[in-house]
Amino acid sequence: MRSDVKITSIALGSRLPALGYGTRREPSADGRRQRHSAAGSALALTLALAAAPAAAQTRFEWPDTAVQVGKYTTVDNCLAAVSRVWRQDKQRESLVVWSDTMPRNPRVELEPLPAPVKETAVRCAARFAEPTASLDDFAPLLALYLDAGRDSDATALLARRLAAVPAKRTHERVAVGDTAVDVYLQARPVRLDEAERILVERARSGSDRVARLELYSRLMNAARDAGDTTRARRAAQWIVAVADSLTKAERESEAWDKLAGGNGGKLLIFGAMQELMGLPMMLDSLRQGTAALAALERNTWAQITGERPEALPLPVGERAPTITADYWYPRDAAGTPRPARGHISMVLLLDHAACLHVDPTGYVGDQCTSLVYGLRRVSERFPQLQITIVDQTAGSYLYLPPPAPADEAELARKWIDAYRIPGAAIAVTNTPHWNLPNPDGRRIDKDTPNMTAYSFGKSWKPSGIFLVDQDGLIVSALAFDEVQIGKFMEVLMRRQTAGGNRAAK
Amino acid sequence: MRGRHGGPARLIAPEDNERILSKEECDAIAQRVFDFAKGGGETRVRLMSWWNGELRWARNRVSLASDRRDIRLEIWRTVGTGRGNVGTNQLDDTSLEAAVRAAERSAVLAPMNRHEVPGVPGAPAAEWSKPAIWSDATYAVTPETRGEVARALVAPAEAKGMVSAGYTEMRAGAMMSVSSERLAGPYTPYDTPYVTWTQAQCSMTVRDQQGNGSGWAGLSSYDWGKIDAPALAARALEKCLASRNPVSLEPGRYTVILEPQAVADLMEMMTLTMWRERAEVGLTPWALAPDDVLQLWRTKLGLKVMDERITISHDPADPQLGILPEPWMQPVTWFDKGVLTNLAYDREYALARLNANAALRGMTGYRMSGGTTSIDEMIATTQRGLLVTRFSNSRLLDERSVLSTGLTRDGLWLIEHGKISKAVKNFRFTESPLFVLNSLEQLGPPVPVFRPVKNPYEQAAPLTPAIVPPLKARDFSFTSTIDAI
Repeated sequence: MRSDVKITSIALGSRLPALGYGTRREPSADGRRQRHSAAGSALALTLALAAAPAAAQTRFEWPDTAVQVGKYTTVDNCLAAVSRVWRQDKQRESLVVWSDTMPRNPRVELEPLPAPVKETAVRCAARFAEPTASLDDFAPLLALYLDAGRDSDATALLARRLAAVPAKRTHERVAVGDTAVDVYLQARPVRLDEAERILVERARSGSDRVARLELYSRLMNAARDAGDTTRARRAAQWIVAVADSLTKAERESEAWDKLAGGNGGKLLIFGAMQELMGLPMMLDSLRQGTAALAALERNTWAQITGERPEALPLPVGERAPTITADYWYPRDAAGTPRPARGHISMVLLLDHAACLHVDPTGYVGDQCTSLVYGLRRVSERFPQLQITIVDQTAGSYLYLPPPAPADEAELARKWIDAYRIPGAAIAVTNTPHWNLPNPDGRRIDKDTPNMTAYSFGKSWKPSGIFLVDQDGLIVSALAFDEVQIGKFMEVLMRRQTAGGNRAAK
Repeated sequence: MRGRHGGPARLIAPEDNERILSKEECDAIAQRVFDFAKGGGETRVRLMSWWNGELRWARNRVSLASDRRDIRLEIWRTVGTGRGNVGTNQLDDTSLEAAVRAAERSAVLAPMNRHEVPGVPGAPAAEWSKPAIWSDATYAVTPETRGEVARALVAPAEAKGMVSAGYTEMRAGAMMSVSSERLAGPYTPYDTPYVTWTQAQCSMTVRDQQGNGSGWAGLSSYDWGKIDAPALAARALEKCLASRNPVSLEPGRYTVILEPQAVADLMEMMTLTMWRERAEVGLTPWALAPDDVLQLWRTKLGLKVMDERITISHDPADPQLGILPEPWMQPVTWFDKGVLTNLAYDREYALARLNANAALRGMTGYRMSGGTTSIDEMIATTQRGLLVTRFSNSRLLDERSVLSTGLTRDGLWLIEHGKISKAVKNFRFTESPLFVLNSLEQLGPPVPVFRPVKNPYEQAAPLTPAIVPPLKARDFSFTSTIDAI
């Protein structure tokens, strides 16, 4: 399960990544490794037409986009050519497959490169022989070898690069290893074996145990993203083992606080513990009742942090507060408290201002499609699920002159309605706010009553999805993970059929 | 069909006395582009038409004389979920249609956002003011006139045995950016109604044959009639003669008298920092401190940040400060009696952070308040200091403090006991305009200065004019001497 994502989404209060598949690493229609964008291509085309006066006098002809690897004599050129072929492949695919409307497939990380992409890499990399290729091109050449399927050459190149580092220059050796890990983890298919070998070697040779936690965490996350649960659990075991042996000084160090993207070592270890527990154990607890699941999570937290169980930074087991709103859609939804007792419910704390954006030319974009499409699939699969989408006004809507709150709520309603999520109610709250004194004048939003209620007195800003059982207790508060929600829902449905928490006990 | 110079002919070929496209011509071209579009969707057109007449000379001889004009057409096509764009300067039917087809093919390959946001009305109509940056005097200058001007500018230097180099340049431009959905308006913030402008520049350097002295003078304006070229030539020559055989001086902190050009050169670095969003992440001098409670950076808006004699503002109705129009353009004061009152932001910021409708432009085209002290009076009241003509090669070292470095050029003199005593070899300075504006002693009357087009390759870029005073300030930091004159 994606336990660290769950924690991060709550602890950081980061709106967008927590809501969808924002951190997906698979190559997209936007291009491999984000080196090029479609807009960039259009710009490049414009520049190509505009830059040379002579060219501007020639009637336009569609450029020859066939890759002629003979033209590319450097590693960078070859890698760029491979990226272009891949991007074209993804663009063609994106015309017929809208991947952001589909569930995420974690196995995509393990799939081989498309044949034309690999063929381009093979032909272009043929001019770079190991062991004669220049080490100046180490990083791009490593990536090119992997794209071409020359893994043994990649291994030899890395060994040659490490051998070139003077023995006393530990930092340089570490940097080379980090570079190699990045390349291995970004390769398609992802090379987890090689990345693990380097990480383990580095971890065991280094004396900094807090830094070792970070390395193991990287491996755990990469393995989990690739669907390699065995490896992820192995890395999680290492994390817990190291954590058990940390001194008080190490747990109070600055490096410890910086772990897990600044969320601190406690959350990193909690994530590892959840990885070790695995989804089956959580489901087993949930079958016993939501209180059992909450006890499992809280006790785990207490065990790894030494804090009291209630300090768990997740509201699992808490009673879900009733949603309040100034505008309800449909309007009759205002008549019934939500989440409603007796119903399995889902509360999505959404922020349309974070989902919608307008660029400087006036084009409008929607960045939450994968989340909302996922929600629709869940809703269609579990018609009994009562969904409440909670939004709040921001005082602005795309490029429109600042709308009145009621108008803004109506615009948000039209946007959400377009996704046609069966049975979903939309609750929009006027965001209380004030402005800094002029001449600054910035708008400062206060928390809405819903945000205050769903933070449960903690300092973090709630976001994401709250799954609530039929007794009104929060089962999970997490980033949107369709698989996990599906599993939880199945258990909750069975429990509901059997008579709820009390019957489960 | 071939054009006058052997190139492809335009369907609309401006006559010799029509150096830029009229609004009617722009509308006609845009309409033809819209007509060629297939498959529905929005078409956007951006048309830029410009004329550039220049004359350059070096070592007292003309090195370049040109009179050029060109058109650039950019086309954006939205087809389905994709956007594509193409640029061209060929306006015959065949080329236009080919360009539109190319943009459409590009759009198909570049799907941007396939998920429409329903229920959003079109972009709102914006208030566009008509800029006052057009001068018939500039537009009327012919190559022959430029030649005569150059001859008059070179002659005095040559007569004194000096070597001069410089240029005169006149430009005119027209620009329009419209959508197929609103060719006749009303225009939104994302359009640009048809606009024209002129600009003129004259810059001249005079050196002695031995390379021991250098003087410079220059001025730019939308109106050639406001540039007194012979006076500039005389000034450059005078400075050259007075700057010969400079002596070396120890670097250090000096009282300085900055001529208006030097003030504008120094202020240039500060104009780049005048943005809210940069301040609100703590990156510019206008950031005050992080507010841990609100979890944001407080800014210095409303705080006194420089000498209270300084007010820096822009009035779009002032043709001397004319810049390209922006929607909802209003007079703005960035510094009012030393108090920071405004920082620039774009419309997206205005909507999201201020719930306001209009952007506030950056510090381009500004007037800085001054005083009544003449440069002669400043010199007369200086015991020991330096008179600076201008700075060059300036660059920002630290955005947080606007600490900048650059070189003095074309005339630097030591002042002793109220008089200019000798020419001095140039220095590298390392100083912040903010420190200077907090160490003021005297200010003179503000005057327009030379503000070159920032990117000479961007023919459509208008000037960003400035009107600034000379000033006298304490403790200006010179950090090393340089050999260049």
